[in-house]
Amino acid sequence: MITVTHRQNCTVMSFSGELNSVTAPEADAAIAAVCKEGCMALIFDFAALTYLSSAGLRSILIGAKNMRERGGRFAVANAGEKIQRVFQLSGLARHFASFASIDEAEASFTGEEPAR
Amino acid sequence: MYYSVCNQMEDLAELDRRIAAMPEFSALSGESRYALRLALEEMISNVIKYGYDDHAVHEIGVTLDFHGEAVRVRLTDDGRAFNPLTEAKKTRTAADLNGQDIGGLGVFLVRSLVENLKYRREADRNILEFTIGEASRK
Repeated sequence: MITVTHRQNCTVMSFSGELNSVTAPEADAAIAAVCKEGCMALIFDFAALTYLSSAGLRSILIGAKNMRERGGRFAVANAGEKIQRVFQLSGLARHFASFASIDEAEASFTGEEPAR
Repeated sequence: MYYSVCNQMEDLAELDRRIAAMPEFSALSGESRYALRLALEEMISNVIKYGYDDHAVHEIGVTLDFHGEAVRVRLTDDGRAFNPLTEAKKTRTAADLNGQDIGGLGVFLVRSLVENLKYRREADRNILEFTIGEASRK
């Protein structure tokens, strides 16, 4: 399930459950819709994401690419240990920044200190 | 135990649900459970997507042999020859953001997460074997 939250300076898409070959098409559609609205700062919140496979990695990379091509900012936040391991094993972590919280991710977009 | 999966993504999803419900699956470590589900998803979806040129129904054989915290897996299919040990070598550097190389990425993830990965081609069938969780038994 994906929830979209609009903050003052960014949009957060919170993914819960699994991002795999079954759920990736729905995720791709939701990401495309958010980008089509003109979002210029996007954070994927993975606090409730329990499983990620290469299909899910593809969704992340396509989101990152879409944002970059439009001059926008993109980051991932709250990825758990198993998810981070998939990022590292894939060697694709260099294509997106990953933060321990949404606040830190948002602060990275503006270069400010995260709110405390 | 042996499962036969048809070459459709819905069947793969059903296999995933059945395995996740098995008590033997729960006996694996968290890391091994993740690795098993990912390995099956990646390898079987690759067969479904890229293994056949026709629109016929094909059977993919899945054999699981659980031993406490470890599991041995055998996958067999009659699709085109595909050796994951030699294919998709470019994945780490290709990282094609259009997703064209993501099939190879799945294979790369599997190679990183399983042990004793072996492939052979026999009588027009691909036979892939690997283990998960055996290293931790030592």
